[in-house]
Amino acid sequence: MDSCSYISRLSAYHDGELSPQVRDEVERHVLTCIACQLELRELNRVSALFKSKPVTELSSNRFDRLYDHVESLTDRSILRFAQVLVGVAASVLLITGLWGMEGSPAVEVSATGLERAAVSLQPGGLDDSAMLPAQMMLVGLSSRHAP
Amino acid sequence: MSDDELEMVGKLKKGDSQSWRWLVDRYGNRLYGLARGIVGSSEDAEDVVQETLSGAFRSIRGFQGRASLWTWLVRILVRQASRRRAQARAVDRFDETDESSPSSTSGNKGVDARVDLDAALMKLNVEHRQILLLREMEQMTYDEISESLEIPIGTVESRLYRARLELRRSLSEWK
Repeated sequence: MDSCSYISRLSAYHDGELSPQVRDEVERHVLTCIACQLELRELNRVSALFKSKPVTELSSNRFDRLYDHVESLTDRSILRFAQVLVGVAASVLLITGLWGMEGSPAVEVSATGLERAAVSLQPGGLDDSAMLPAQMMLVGLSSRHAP
Repeated sequence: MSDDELEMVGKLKKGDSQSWRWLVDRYGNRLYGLARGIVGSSEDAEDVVQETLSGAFRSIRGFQGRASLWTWLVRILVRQASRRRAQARAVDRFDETDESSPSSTSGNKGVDARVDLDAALMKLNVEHRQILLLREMEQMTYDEISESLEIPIGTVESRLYRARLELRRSLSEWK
């Protein structure tokens, strides 16, 4: 079949994909080459076969399934977006809650807080009934810190 | 790419469901016809189109509009079809079509020619079948085929030449 060196270019010539210069050269050659003329006729025959092939069309059922499919894709994407939003909102709530707890006076009730309160008691600043528990607390804390 | 198509791509990227339906309306038949030509059966072709749409949905954000929407979709479809073919080969299903024998004649010359063409196409290797369908059925340019199949233009020309030779050999078996 490859009796002529131009034959391998005829497929691109047939498709109109050669540069103008090469196309002119091939055209001049084909006028005098029987093998290339036969080859071109074959290329045209096969292209005509494809053209006679009916267009394959989706049935309405298949179309509906494709619509459902893209619908589910876009729904899933919205759901994912909503999930991200909920996640972000939950994180913000958690962080705000923790930050609020850390800043509240309740957290300040710690051993070091009581210690500072007991040490800063000024004699005479309290009456005896209040002084006694304060002194006991001070003694208790001192013994806890003793080596 | 036209302004309309660019605008639509923007909507597709936002996940607008109406735009995705538009994509099915506009390209559904062509994608299905191409998939059918590549994989053979209508059920597998429908699956390939669905997988193509899923792939397009996943990667639309990366679509920059250098190629047309159609060329981009074809690239995804070709990948999905070969993935499916590889899976099917594992369960030894697709090769049944390659074993097909010459079809019986219907008495109608036009119908017979079409049946012969389909059967002859299924006898080709998948690379040759794909490139012939893109060129002869979809009338895509070598540039577009090169983009879709991710091969150089020179390879498009030589592969198409060999595919046509193989198709003619395959068709002659039915004569």
